[in-house]
Amino acid sequence: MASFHLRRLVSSVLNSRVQTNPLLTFRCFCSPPVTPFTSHASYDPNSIHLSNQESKRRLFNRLLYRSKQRGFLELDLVLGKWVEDNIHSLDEYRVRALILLLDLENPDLWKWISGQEQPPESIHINPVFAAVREGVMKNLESHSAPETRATPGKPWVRGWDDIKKFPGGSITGNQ
Amino acid sequence: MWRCIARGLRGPASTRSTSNHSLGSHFYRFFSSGANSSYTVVDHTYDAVVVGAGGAGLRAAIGLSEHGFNTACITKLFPTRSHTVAAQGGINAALGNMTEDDWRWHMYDTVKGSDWLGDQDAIQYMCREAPKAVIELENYGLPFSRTEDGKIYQRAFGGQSLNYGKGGQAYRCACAADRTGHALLHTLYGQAMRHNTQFFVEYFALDLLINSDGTCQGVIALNMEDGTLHRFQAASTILATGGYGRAYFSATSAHTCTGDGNAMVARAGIPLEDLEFVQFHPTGIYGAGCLITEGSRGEGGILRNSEGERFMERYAPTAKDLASRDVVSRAMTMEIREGRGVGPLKDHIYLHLNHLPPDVLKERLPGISETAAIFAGVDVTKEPIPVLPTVHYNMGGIPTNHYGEVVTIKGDNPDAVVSGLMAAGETACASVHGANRLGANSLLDIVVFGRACANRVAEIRRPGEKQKPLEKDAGQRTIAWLDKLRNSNGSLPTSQIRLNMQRVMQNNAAVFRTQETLEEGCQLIDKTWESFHDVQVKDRSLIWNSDLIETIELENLLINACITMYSAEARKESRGAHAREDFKVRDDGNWMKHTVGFWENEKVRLDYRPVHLNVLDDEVESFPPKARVY
Repeated sequence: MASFHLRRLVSSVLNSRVQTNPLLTFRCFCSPPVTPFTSHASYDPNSIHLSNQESKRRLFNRLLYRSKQRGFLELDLVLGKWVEDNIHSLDEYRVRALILLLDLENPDLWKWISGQEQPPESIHINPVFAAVREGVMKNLESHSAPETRATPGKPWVRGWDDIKKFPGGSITGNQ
Repeated sequence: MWRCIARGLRGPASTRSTSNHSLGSHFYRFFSSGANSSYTVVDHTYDAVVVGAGGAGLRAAIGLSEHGFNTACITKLFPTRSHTVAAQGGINAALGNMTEDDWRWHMYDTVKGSDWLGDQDAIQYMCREAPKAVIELENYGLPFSRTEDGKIYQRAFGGQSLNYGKGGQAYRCACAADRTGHALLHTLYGQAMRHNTQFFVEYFALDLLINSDGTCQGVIALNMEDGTLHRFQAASTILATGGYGRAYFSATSAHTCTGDGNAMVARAGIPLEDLEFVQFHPTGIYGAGCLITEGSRGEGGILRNSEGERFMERYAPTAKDLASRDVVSRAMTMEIREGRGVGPLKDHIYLHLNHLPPDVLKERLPGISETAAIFAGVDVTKEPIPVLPTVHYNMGGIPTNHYGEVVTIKGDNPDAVVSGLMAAGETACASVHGANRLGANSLLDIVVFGRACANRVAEIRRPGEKQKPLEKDAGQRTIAWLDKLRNSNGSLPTSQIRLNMQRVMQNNAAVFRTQETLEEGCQLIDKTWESFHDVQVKDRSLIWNSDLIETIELENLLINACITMYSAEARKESRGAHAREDFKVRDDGNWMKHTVGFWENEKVRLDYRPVHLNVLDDEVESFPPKARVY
């Protein structure tokens, strides 16, 4: 089962924290590199202060806002709900992981979370990504028969049929 | 009254200058608005300010910068997070890459699709400029999909025809794989950065700064990060804030689509146009809004009510579940209103796919099983998908001419320009979509009119032009309103009022419209607006106060909702997306006109302005109204 392996991976990553320099561990998912599209290049992810109540409130509200307001309905729903449910139980390590996740681009992030595309390794081992993806995979496994689903790693929804595979299909596609 | 100026409001308490890296000048002021509170206000001056950093806002900002205007772009989201990112289909343009094509045919299809409510001068402008706008995007580096011989690939979309409807299917939709919206945002954002547009990210635009002679001099916005207020003075203000889909219970829009620009305009005393025309897709997942493609009914999916009845047989005896979108949507809504909906609230319908072979689901309906599993928790081989008609697009918005200038009724002039104010994209109503939008014209609208705004500014203004100073009290009413809202001590949480509004809009102003439902809807939405006086904002902070932001967005949605409901009640005909059971035909004699809804003293006042049947020149002739068969 995929979720079993994911749980082991998450557990492994979390366990390894106590044995590794946190900064070095952090670097495991520093990529993708900071680009012009990073939402706040000036924002220093190392300045997380979870012990100060007001700075924690601000940080959490900021992260909630950015999670629930992706501009992409599927991510508003899946990522927004996960963050809303879990943000108050995140430690500093996973808060940083979430910040990195929020800088990713919507179409890529959705395809990785939903299993339509294989994510880069740095995303794959991101503990917040793994947890969100685990929730989605659990839903897929519980509520859909494998024979009706796309092959893992293949895209799902197409709003049109550019390739007319079937006779009698609509010329204007699957709108 | 929400907008009363607080008695404690005073002038600036102190002034000092501060330098920063902004291209605009700025200085701090402190306003007091009550004994125990004060607001820091920062002033900026630009040649132009754009509100919204989706496709239309970015395109306007690029054009302005290319013309040498010092430009600020205010956005509540990071640019590539705007809802434009979700647009998958593509951009219509008569490039003729797949077959012969002509922009006049595109114009005809658009006028026809608008059910003749579209302004033909603006439609002509859009369709004629479409190829140029697409080629410009290509030159900016938008990675369009390609044909085998290297031309931009174009796909077919419904409603697109050749030779004025007589020549078969047109292939007119230029696309970048399945992520045209995202590619557009990235391309435009990269280009805007190249031109040094000054971005103010996670600033929430609150209101326009309209002076005493009715000229727009800029906007006042809240910096969500540090709680400061910012007055952006500019000779040109361009609103590009998107639609207001979230006024309804079920919408495909992202949660950011709260009609902020529309509401800013309405609060400024400028009307909103044609809000009654809202486009629905019949099958959105209940509670989530994600679409289940019509292809599912094409492959044999069946809609059933709470009695297990295949009710489409009653409404469309021949086509049944394959009837057109609007017929299916109305039938679903009628079943719900008559008490045969499913679920605890009997407010949705079941879409059955469980009788379809698994390979059909996998191969011919890709993504349906997955979408249903994730967003509805339903296994489509065993259970039906809960669905209901879902808002897809708002045709109405801020009235503009084909230059993108905001217009209003002034005396006997129905096209009076509001000096200094423009709008583009879904927030605007040019009116190119009229009563119903043609598929893939929405991205085109965004690009063409974002571009048109910039070109118009270049025609009528000069970079660095001296601006009349802001009046002393500019923004003070807004600050008083913000202060009152922030300290709201009522009994109703924002989320409850919002859900009430959404249910009223879904039940009374979605696709099934009669005098009875709309009259009731007007009463109910008025009550919902009244209940907003009793709103409760728990968080008093100015910094990352999402409770306050959501409450401001709720007021914005409520204004859109009220004008929509009253506009729909008043229009006693069927036209495009506005289909009334009690006035079944289009009535060009009485209703070939645009509704304009003013928001005055917390009430809707309606008026009307003529549809532009004229065209711009002799390159094309106007298309006379033709009856549309529903």
